[in-house]
Amino acid sequence: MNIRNKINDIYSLEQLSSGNTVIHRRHPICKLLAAFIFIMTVISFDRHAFGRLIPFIFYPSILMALSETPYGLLLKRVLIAIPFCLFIGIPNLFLEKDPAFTVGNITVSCGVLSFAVIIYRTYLCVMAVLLLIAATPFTELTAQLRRMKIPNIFIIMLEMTYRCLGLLAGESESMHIAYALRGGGAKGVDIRHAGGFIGSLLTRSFDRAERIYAAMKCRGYGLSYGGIRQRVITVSDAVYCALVCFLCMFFRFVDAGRWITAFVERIS
Amino acid sequence: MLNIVKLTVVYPDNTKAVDKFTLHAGKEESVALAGENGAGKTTLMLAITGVLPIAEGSVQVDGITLEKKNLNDIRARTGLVFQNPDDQLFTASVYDDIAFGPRNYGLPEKQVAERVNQTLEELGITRLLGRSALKLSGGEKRLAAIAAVLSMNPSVLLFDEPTAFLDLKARRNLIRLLNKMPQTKLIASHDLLFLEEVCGRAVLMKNGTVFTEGAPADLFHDKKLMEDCGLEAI
Ligand SMILES: Nc1ncnc2c1ncn2[C@@H]1O[C@H](COP(=O)(O)OP(=O)(O)OP(=O)(O)O)[C@@H](O)[C@H]1O
Ligand SMILES: [Mg+2]
Repeated sequence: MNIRNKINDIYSLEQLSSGNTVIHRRHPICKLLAAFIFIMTVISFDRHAFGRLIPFIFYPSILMALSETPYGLLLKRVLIAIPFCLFIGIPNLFLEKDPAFTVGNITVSCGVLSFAVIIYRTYLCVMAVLLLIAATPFTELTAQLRRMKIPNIFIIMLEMTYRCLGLLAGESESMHIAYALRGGGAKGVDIRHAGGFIGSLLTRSFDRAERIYAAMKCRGYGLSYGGIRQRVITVSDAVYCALVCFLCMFFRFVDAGRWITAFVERIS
Repeated sequence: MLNIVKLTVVYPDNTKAVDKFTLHAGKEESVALAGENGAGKTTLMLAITGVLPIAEGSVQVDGITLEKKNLNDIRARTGLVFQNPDDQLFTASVYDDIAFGPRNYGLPEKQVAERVNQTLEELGITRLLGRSALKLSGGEKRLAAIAAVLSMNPSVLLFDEPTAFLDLKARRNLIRLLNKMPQTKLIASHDLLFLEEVCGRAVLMKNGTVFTEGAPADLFHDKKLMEDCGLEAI
């Protein structure tokens, strides 16, 4: 059980966010918006549109280079998400047997294609989120959201969810250890105890969350001072956002991937 | 300055955890709070900072009465170090955690950085600066949690079991630091020797109310009295 380490890995990514590169210096709202548009565009494609999605690699590659985020760190974290989409993707391999195209004498079925699209799409979206975390201090992001007059309750929910993810993992681990030490050496949690285990895991986590929220309030969290630093959106912030939008829209409506497919077809 | 008059706190399940508790702590005074498990120490501290609602009575910090409308003011003036440091530390880095309070009160980033560094130096834990708050040892977490509260520069400090998890050297260091600090302090602890060194006055608490008060040296060595309060004399 090392979910905790994996979640801590994601938090440790946040430590990179104090860097000072071109990307780090952009206004957090612009970065959030750009990431959002990117993800929405990637999701909007048909599930066989592998060729069309290829150019979208531009976003993670350029951002990674500019924000000086080590690829190894990101990849390790993306790999956490991949097993989940394998579950969703594998049935496609067997269900969609129609041929999509042929390369030489190998026929690629629609199932293989949509399987590849699921994996690749997940990769792109998770990368976009991780890059956002790595280049934007979370506190600054929520502070700017507050300034935009987004209702405080949503921001508190966002912050608490982000924080409590780690909490849940931590609690589940310490409970699991406490259980294992008295569980007579059994591996995992016995099915007879699973219900109680999950139930008390949730109550424990709620309790902890409540106490953490109290501790945060004691240190002035959620006060009307909120605004922190006033930050204006500069020209370069706007340019950054516009550029990402433009590229997303360009690759969305212009089939830049076609020449790749055409190229593949020509070889065959 | 801290002024508590007939404070009563009732939990939603009707447990009366604090019952007509009265205490006055002057400027620069250090008051010890001792009492058996479940006496109501933690509850009292949570009520002083306005985290738990008050059923009856009143709390005043620096002459300001704890009410919904000046909650901000009260919280800026009080600093509570939680019994469990895991409840207090929650951001990715020690720096962010210590900066959390000052940032919430709208300090400019440059001053925030100064505060953080100064606090870390005072506590002798500059080495923890770049570390993740989730990956510290128990004692390091405690020190980081104390730093997180001191960085807010409150005028009333509330400590709930500050010496738990600390090694002897860190404990000694904390005693030195507390004795140097001019703020009003209310310290709840089971470590009576520690209380004796830091506090000029002690309050024994039982069943949510004041059992008796006096000089720590007198109270803590009185076998009969301590037993009546559910504690063990030193
Ligand atoms: N959330 C809660 N709901 C109901 N009752 C509670 C709650 N938290 C604490 N209590 C009860 O209130 C009483 C006082 O608890 P409190 O935590 O204040 O004690 P304490 O003096 O801090 O004890 P310790 O020395 O063990 O930390 C106890 O009887 C406890 O069982
Ligand atoms: Mg307690």
